[in-house]
Amino acid sequence: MTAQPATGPVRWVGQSTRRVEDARLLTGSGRFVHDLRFPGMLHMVTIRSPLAHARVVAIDLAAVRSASGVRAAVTGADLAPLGSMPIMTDNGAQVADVPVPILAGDRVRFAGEPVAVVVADSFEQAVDAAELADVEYSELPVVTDPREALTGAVVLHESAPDNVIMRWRAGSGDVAAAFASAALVVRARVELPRLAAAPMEPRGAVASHDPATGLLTVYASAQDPHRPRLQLAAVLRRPPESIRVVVGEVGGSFGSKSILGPEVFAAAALSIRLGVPVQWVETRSENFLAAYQGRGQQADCELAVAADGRFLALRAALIADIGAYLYPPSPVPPVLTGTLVTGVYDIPAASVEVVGVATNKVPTGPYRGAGRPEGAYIAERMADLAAAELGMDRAEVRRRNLIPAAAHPFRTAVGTTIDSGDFPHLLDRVCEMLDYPGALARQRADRERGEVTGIGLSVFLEPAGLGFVESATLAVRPDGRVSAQVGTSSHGQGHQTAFAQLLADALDLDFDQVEIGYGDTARAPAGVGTFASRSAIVGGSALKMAAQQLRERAMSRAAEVLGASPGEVTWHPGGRLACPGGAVSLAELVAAGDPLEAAATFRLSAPVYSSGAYGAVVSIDRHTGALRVDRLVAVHDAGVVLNPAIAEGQVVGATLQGFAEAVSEQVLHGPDGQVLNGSFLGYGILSAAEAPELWSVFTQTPSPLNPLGVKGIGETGTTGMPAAMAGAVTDALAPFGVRHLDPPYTPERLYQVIAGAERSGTGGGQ
Amino acid sequence: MSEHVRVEVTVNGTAHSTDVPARRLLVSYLRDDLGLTGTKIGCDTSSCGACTVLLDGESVKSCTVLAVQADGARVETIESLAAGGSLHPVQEAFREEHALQCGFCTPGMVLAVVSLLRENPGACAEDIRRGLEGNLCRCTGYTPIVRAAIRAAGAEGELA
Repeated sequence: MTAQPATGPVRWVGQSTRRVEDARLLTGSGRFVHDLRFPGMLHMVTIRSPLAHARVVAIDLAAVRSASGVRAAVTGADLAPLGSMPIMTDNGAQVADVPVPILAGDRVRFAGEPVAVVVADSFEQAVDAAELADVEYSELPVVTDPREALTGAVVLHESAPDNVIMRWRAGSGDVAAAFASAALVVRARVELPRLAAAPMEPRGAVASHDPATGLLTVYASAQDPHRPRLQLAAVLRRPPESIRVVVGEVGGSFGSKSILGPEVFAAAALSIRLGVPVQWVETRSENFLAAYQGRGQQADCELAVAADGRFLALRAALIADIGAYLYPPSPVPPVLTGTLVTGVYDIPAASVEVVGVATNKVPTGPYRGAGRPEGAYIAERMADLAAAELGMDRAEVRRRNLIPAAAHPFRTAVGTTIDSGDFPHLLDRVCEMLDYPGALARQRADRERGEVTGIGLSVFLEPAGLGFVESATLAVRPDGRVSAQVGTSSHGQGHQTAFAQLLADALDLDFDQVEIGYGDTARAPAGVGTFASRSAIVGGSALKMAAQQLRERAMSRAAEVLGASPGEVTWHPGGRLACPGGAVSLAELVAAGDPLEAAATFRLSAPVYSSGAYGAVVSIDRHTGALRVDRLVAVHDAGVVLNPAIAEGQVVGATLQGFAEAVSEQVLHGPDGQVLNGSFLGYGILSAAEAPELWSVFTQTPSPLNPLGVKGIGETGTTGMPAAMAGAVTDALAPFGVRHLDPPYTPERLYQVIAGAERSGTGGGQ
Repeated sequence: MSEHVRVEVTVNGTAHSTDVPARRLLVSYLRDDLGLTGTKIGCDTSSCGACTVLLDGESVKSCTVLAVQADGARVETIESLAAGGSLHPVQEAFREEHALQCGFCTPGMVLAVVSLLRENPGACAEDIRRGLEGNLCRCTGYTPIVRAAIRAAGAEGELA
């Protein structure tokens, strides 16, 4: 597919049109899963393992079942036989056979794992009854560190005695020869800790089975309805046609709702059994315990560098802390990391190996970025370290290695093909916004005064559009308005607005003549969903194709109605079709004959590469370790932008998440596998008072891989920020002998580093 | 545990007299007894502010108040704010500044801004950032919310 000119004059695309969805969300009338009420609806509460690793000796729910208001209480054995959730391995990951129990059987493998559920008339009754569960456990030794897990001293799954439950490798070029001839070999072990996605709305669903029709309807807080339907079909062993999934308002996800939690399958099974709707909404504490987490990746990296600063080869051995089980999307982030370790650089040879390890912690999965931040972190840390060890400027070392714009499509040594981008321009622009030479001069002066300041840069990739297929359907309504149904769905991204802009332009209609619907498998065409910054690219392209088809059908119908030849009919704004002898509106066309509809499916041939660059200037208080951002700049290439306000909103929001990842967020587990900071009190979500101001601009290289020229924008901030902040913080701490330091850069961690260096007399510039 | 107490509360201008379990939180009373689901529950540690409502004109986290403590009080929820179908200046400003994405924190955030501007009509960006510290948003990065509050402060000034 090659780039095509937009159909008709562009009027809405590119405008910061105010969002259609805001009116309901601002007035409290948006319906989230927890807001749904059905006659006879029961409430489900989960009984969870308090231990990270144990045999389940006995479960006694007798007291639970006799508690006030309780309608059912079940264990995994009571629910059997259920199927298992299919693991996503289309990225080439090899996975071990480690089934995920819906409710734990005779063994629990992480603290918070669902063991039983109770359903009662009210939520309070279910909570009270759950307290009465008598579960006898026999403790087993716990392993939380993935490197320790690799020794096999504690085994989670008998089918994986070394605890390796996932593998992937890639590479090309003569890596060994490049290292043999290198002037310098830079080595580092880098790590990004586990994070909680922590959407403001926790997970939840209402399952409602209609015994009369056999239809199971599941209202879910999810990223789309289609994947949940397939999961329900697999686990409940029912045909997908007997399941309807409805995704209404969703209070954020950031990757964490791309599958249904095991609890939803239990709720669905109980709704089928009891014949009434069952609502399950977790608490925030449960979300921290049992929703899959992100990151948790570490890597041993080696970069072969020539004397002139050219990168010759990269070797990376990645270890992913997968957790207790492989959830369906668990293999996705580590493999994506593997494909991105060479970053934006032209490195002729590379080899990368990913090992996914079972530990006694909740499983991991995609969290905003999902491998992109980890890949960028590896590539950018190695670039910084190469500069430091060569005594070369960090912008200069990057400039010498960036893939030139003219080289696209560029195939990297790990086998990914970058469709487009202008990385040297991104670096130049971000240096300009930072006033890079001025910033370096100010840093020298500040250091002479004893201040601790640092400058960080990152240039990064955001492969987007994975899960390559989406569909759209269109229908002209009796009033002449055009309503669309799309396969992706929104959880904050503003689909109803951005897609309406696209459709209005494609059909030369007013904004209020079009309407976008999604989220209901009974109405929306087959799709994959909203993730990997893919909706505009894949879903938008499908919508555009459907619009072209509708346009052609309407023109041909108009020719018949008007008695003209098809070539004589022209399309006019507002959906009026005219020929020399007359005119007809879309409404008149559907009134006169058959429904006027269109349906299209778009297949993306390969990922679309968004890119960007961040620059950060930070100061650290040497007496307290407190970090202050003095300047934060970003430039993004998201191709053609549909709605600048929405795109900028994605950038600013993701930047704060990336900033929080750098300075405060980390899920901490004790050696016994217990989550130590599982609430908003302890997990470092930032408030308005702590959020830095960002200066952000957009640049544009349209993607040749889709008819809109669009790219993704959803994950850029989380991808570029950790690497830029790592660069800034390690630069600030360089006078204290720090070569590399992993986030989060909490005041405590920074203070310890500075105090330790001062005790041992390592410089500090004062 | 199941002891019931009568509470008399005026919510969004309507007087209610309800027997509620003594332990029922105000947020559950609003959502489950009165069906006002615009008020959200985002955490269980009184950290996120999604449940913010106005109690006798002041913003409170309705998960930190028992329904019985609201006896005799006047409560305003997000449902009351758009009088006569037109958005309140704060709601309008949120829309103009793209200060919401998923919209889950929005009802609480809007009411927190309403309360903040009532107390400090001339609030600057720094005041607003500090004043909203108890309301978490995971989508917007807060900058558009701060802009919306500043815009609304200007709009309310014009109205006054």
